[in-house]
Amino acid sequence: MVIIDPERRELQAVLDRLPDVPRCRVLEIGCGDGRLTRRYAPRVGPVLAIDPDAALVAAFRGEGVDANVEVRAAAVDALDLPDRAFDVVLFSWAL
Amino acid sequence: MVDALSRASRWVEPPLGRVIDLRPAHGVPQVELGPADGRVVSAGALAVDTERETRHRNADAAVRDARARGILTLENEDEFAFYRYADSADELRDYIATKFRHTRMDAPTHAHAASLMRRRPGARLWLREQAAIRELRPAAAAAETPRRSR
Repeated sequence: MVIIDPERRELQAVLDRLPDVPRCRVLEIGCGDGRLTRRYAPRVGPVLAIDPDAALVAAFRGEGVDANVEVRAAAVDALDLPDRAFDVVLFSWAL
Repeated sequence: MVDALSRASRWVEPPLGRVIDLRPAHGVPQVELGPADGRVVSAGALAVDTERETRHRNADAAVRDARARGILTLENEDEFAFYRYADSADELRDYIATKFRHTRMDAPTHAHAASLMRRRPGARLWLREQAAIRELRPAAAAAETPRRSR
Protein backbone atom coordinates (compact mmCIF):
# COMPACT_ATOMS: atom_id res chain seq x y z
CA MET A 1 0.00 0.00 0.00
CA VAL A 2 1.29 3.44 -0.89
CA ILE A 3 1.83 5.58 2.21
CA ILE A 4 1.15 9.25 1.65
CA ASP A 5 2.77 12.09 3.55
CA PRO A 6 3.62 10.28 6.79
CA GLU A 7 5.65 13.39 7.65
CA ARG A 8 2.31 15.27 7.81
CA ARG A 9 3.74 18.24 5.93
CA GLU A 10 0.61 18.70 3.88
CA LEU A 11 -1.66 18.47 6.91
CA GLN A 12 0.45 20.88 8.90
CA ALA A 13 0.59 23.36 6.03
CA VAL A 14 -3.22 23.40 5.98
CA LEU A 15 -3.65 23.53 9.76
CA ASP A 16 -1.19 26.41 10.00
CA ARG A 17 -3.43 28.47 7.75
CA LEU A 18 -6.77 27.90 9.41
CA PRO A 19 -8.21 31.02 11.00
CA ASP A 20 -8.39 31.28 14.76
CA VAL A 21 -12.13 30.80 15.06
CA PRO A 22 -14.12 28.22 17.02
CA ARG A 23 -15.58 25.38 14.96
CA CYS A 24 -13.97 26.55 11.76
CA ARG A 25 -16.33 25.99 8.82
CA VAL A 26 -14.57 24.53 5.79
CA LEU A 27 -15.57 24.15 2.16
CA GLU A 28 -13.14 21.77 0.48
CA ILE A 29 -13.12 21.83 -3.30
CA GLY A 30 -11.62 18.73 -4.88
CA CYS A 31 -11.88 16.37 -1.91
CA GLY A 32 -11.42 13.27 -4.07
CA ASP A 33 -11.62 10.13 -1.96
CA GLY A 34 -11.29 12.14 1.25
CA ARG A 35 -7.63 11.44 1.90
CA LEU A 36 -6.87 14.96 3.15
CA THR A 37 -10.36 15.63 4.52
CA ARG A 38 -10.02 12.77 6.98
CA ARG A 39 -6.78 14.21 8.29
CA TYR A 40 -7.96 17.72 9.13
CA ALA A 41 -11.68 17.10 9.83
CA PRO A 42 -11.18 16.22 13.52
CA ARG A 43 -9.60 19.65 14.04
CA VAL A 44 -12.40 21.79 12.57
CA GLY A 45 -16.15 22.33 12.65
CA PRO A 46 -18.53 21.49 9.84
CA VAL A 47 -16.98 20.54 6.51
CA LEU A 48 -18.64 20.52 3.10
CA ALA A 49 -16.40 18.45 0.82
CA ILE A 50 -17.13 18.42 -2.90
CA ASP A 51 -15.66 16.75 -5.93
CA PRO A 52 -17.01 16.51 -9.47
CA ASP A 53 -15.95 12.87 -9.76
CA ALA A 54 -18.89 10.79 -8.51
CA ALA A 55 -16.79 7.64 -8.29
CA LEU A 56 -14.31 9.31 -5.95
CA VAL A 57 -17.14 10.68 -3.83
CA ALA A 58 -18.65 7.21 -3.65
CA ALA A 59 -15.27 5.84 -2.55
CA PHE A 60 -15.09 8.56 0.11
CA ARG A 61 -18.54 7.66 1.42
CA GLY A 62 -17.75 3.95 1.22
CA GLU A 63 -14.90 4.29 3.66
CA GLY A 64 -17.00 6.21 6.14
CA VAL A 65 -17.45 9.92 6.67
CA ASP A 66 -16.87 11.82 9.89
CA ALA A 67 -20.01 13.17 11.54
CA ASN A 68 -19.00 16.78 10.85
CA VAL A 69 -18.38 16.16 7.15
CA GLU A 70 -20.90 16.38 4.34
CA VAL A 71 -19.75 15.02 0.98
CA ARG A 72 -21.30 16.01 -2.33
CA ALA A 73 -20.58 15.07 -5.93
CA ALA A 74 -20.54 18.54 -7.44
CA ALA A 75 -18.42 20.95 -9.42
CA VAL A 76 -17.56 24.32 -7.95
CA ASP A 77 -19.44 26.21 -10.66
CA ALA A 78 -22.61 24.26 -9.83
CA LEU A 79 -22.58 25.16 -6.14
CA ASP A 80 -25.32 27.41 -4.87
CA LEU A 81 -24.15 28.54 -1.46
CA PRO A 82 -24.86 31.64 0.58
CA ASP A 83 -22.20 34.30 0.94
CA ARG A 84 -20.05 34.23 4.08
CA ALA A 85 -21.04 30.66 4.92
CA PHE A 86 -17.48 29.43 5.58
CA ASP A 87 -14.32 30.40 7.35
CA VAL A 88 -12.12 28.62 4.83
CA VAL A 89 -12.44 27.59 1.22
CA LEU A 90 -9.75 25.02 0.52
CA PHE A 91 -8.84 24.26 -3.08
CA SER A 92 -7.44 20.80 -2.49
CA TRP A 93 -5.06 20.06 -5.37
CA ALA A 94 -7.94 21.37 -7.47
CA LEU A 95 -7.21 24.79 -8.92
CA MET B 1 -10.61 29.43 -12.66
CA VAL B 2 -10.76 33.08 -11.67
CA ASP B 3 -14.52 32.72 -11.44
CA ALA B 4 -14.05 29.94 -8.89
CA LEU B 5 -11.72 32.15 -6.88
CA SER B 6 -14.20 35.01 -7.07
CA ARG B 7 -17.01 32.82 -5.79
CA ALA B 8 -14.76 31.44 -3.06
CA SER B 9 -13.97 34.98 -1.92
CA ARG B 10 -17.67 35.58 -1.36
CA TRP B 11 -18.18 32.32 0.50
CA VAL B 12 -15.73 33.14 3.26
CA GLU B 13 -16.80 35.32 6.14
CA PRO B 14 -14.79 38.45 6.92
CA PRO B 15 -12.75 39.43 8.71
CA LEU B 16 -10.82 36.18 9.21
CA GLY B 17 -12.17 34.03 6.38
CA ARG B 18 -9.65 32.91 3.81
CA VAL B 19 -9.05 30.88 0.69
CA ILE B 20 -6.32 28.25 0.71
CA ASP B 21 -4.85 27.12 -2.59
CA LEU B 22 -2.98 23.81 -2.27
CA ARG B 23 -1.53 22.26 -5.41
CA PRO B 24 1.64 21.01 -7.04
CA ALA B 25 4.42 23.52 -7.48
CA HIS B 26 6.18 23.78 -10.77
CA GLY B 27 8.61 21.00 -11.49
CA VAL B 28 8.48 17.32 -12.24
CA PRO B 29 7.89 14.69 -9.52
CA GLN B 30 10.98 12.61 -8.83
CA VAL B 31 11.29 8.87 -8.14
CA GLU B 32 13.96 8.30 -5.52
CA LEU B 33 15.35 5.66 -3.19
CA GLY B 34 16.67 6.16 0.29
CA PRO B 35 19.11 3.32 0.98
CA ALA B 36 20.08 2.24 4.42
CA ASP B 37 23.30 4.27 4.25
CA GLY B 38 21.29 7.47 4.04
CA ARG B 39 22.20 8.50 0.51
CA VAL B 40 19.29 9.41 -1.76
CA VAL B 41 19.51 7.92 -5.25
CA SER B 42 17.45 9.15 -8.19
CA ALA B 43 15.64 6.61 -10.33
CA GLY B 44 14.38 9.32 -12.66
CA ALA B 45 11.60 11.77 -13.12
CA LEU B 46 7.99 11.10 -14.02
CA ALA B 47 6.96 11.64 -17.61
CA VAL B 48 4.74 14.70 -17.72
CA ASP B 49 2.45 15.74 -20.56
CA THR B 50 2.23 19.37 -21.55
CA GLU B 51 -1.34 19.48 -20.18
CA ARG B 52 -0.02 19.34 -16.63
CA GLU B 53 2.22 22.37 -17.08
CA THR B 54 -0.54 24.20 -18.92
CA ARG B 55 -2.91 23.57 -16.04
CA HIS B 56 -0.38 24.92 -13.56
CA ARG B 57 0.23 28.02 -15.64
CA ASN B 58 -3.51 28.62 -15.94
CA ALA B 59 -3.95 28.27 -12.17
CA ASP B 60 -1.12 30.73 -11.54
CA ALA B 61 -2.69 33.13 -14.02
CA ALA B 62 -6.06 32.84 -12.28
CA VAL B 63 -4.53 33.74 -8.91
CA ARG B 64 -2.66 36.66 -10.46
CA ASP B 65 -5.85 37.84 -12.15
CA ALA B 66 -7.86 37.58 -8.92
CA ARG B 67 -5.24 39.69 -7.16
CA ALA B 68 -5.02 42.23 -9.97
CA ARG B 69 -8.78 42.63 -9.98
CA GLY B 70 -8.86 43.25 -6.25
CA ILE B 71 -10.75 40.07 -5.44
CA LEU B 72 -8.12 38.46 -3.24
CA THR B 73 -4.86 39.41 -1.61
CA LEU B 74 -1.99 37.02 -1.07
CA GLU B 75 -1.23 36.67 2.64
CA ASN B 76 1.53 34.10 2.39
CA GLU B 77 2.82 31.25 0.29
CA ASP B 78 5.14 28.36 0.91
CA GLU B 79 6.41 25.17 -0.65
CA PHE B 80 7.12 21.77 0.83
CA ALA B 81 8.24 18.36 -0.35
CA PHE B 82 5.34 15.91 -0.49
CA TYR B 83 6.28 12.23 -0.29
CA ARG B 84 4.48 9.05 -1.27
CA TYR B 85 6.17 5.79 -0.28
CA ALA B 86 5.76 2.45 -2.04
CA ASP B 87 7.00 -1.08 -1.43
CA SER B 88 7.95 -1.70 -5.04
CA ALA B 89 8.41 -0.03 -8.41
CA ASP B 90 5.31 -1.84 -9.65
CA GLU B 91 3.23 -0.50 -6.81
CA LEU B 92 4.41 3.06 -7.39
CA ARG B 93 3.86 2.83 -11.14
CA ASP B 94 0.33 1.50 -10.67
CA TYR B 95 -0.48 4.14 -8.08
CA ILE B 96 0.62 6.92 -10.40
CA ALA B 97 -1.38 5.42 -13.25
CA THR B 98 -4.47 5.47 -11.06
CA LYS B 99 -4.12 8.76 -9.23
CA PHE B 100 -2.30 11.14 -11.57
CA ARG B 101 -3.50 12.88 -14.69
CA HIS B 102 -1.15 13.76 -17.54
CA THR B 103 1.69 12.13 -15.62
CA ARG B 104 3.14 8.62 -15.65
CA MET B 105 6.11 6.53 -14.64
CA ASP B 106 7.67 5.49 -17.92
CA ALA B 107 9.30 2.13 -18.57
CA PRO B 108 12.95 3.25 -18.19
CA THR B 109 12.28 4.95 -14.84
CA HIS B 110 10.30 1.93 -13.65
CA ALA B 111 13.08 -0.44 -14.68
CA HIS B 112 15.73 1.76 -13.06
CA ALA B 113 13.75 1.94 -9.81
CA ALA B 114 13.21 -1.84 -9.78
CA SER B 115 16.90 -2.44 -10.43
CA LEU B 116 17.96 -0.07 -7.68
CA MET B 117 15.55 -1.77 -5.28
CA ARG B 118 17.03 -5.19 -6.10
CA ARG B 119 20.58 -3.96 -5.56
CA ARG B 120 19.81 -2.14 -2.31
CA PRO B 121 18.05 -4.39 0.18
CA GLY B 122 16.23 -2.33 2.76
CA ALA B 123 16.00 0.70 0.51
CA ARG B 124 12.86 2.79 0.62
CA LEU B 125 11.22 3.89 -2.61
CA TRP B 126 9.31 7.13 -2.84
CA LEU B 127 7.85 9.75 -5.11
CA ARG B 128 8.84 13.29 -4.20
CA GLU B 129 6.62 16.07 -5.45
CA GLN B 130 7.05 19.73 -4.63
CA ALA B 131 3.79 21.23 -3.38
CA ALA B 132 2.76 24.84 -2.98
CA ILE B 133 0.26 26.36 -0.58
CA ARG B 134 -1.09 29.90 -0.69
CA GLU B 135 -3.29 31.74 1.77
CA LEU B 136 -5.51 34.35 0.16
CA ARG B 137 -8.05 36.66 1.71
CA PRO B 138 -10.84 38.73 0.26
CA ALA B 139 -9.23 42.04 -0.52
CA ALA B 140 -11.70 44.16 1.45
CA ALA B 141 -11.34 42.05 4.59
CA ALA B 142 -7.56 42.03 4.34
CA ALA B 143 -7.51 45.82 4.25
CA GLU B 144 -9.57 46.05 7.42
CA THR B 145 -7.91 43.60 9.78
CA PRO B 146 -4.52 42.10 10.58
CA ARG B 147 -3.94 38.47 9.67
CA ARG B 148 -4.42 35.89 12.41
CA SER B 149 -3.68 32.22 12.15
CA ARG B 150 -3.68 29.58 14.79
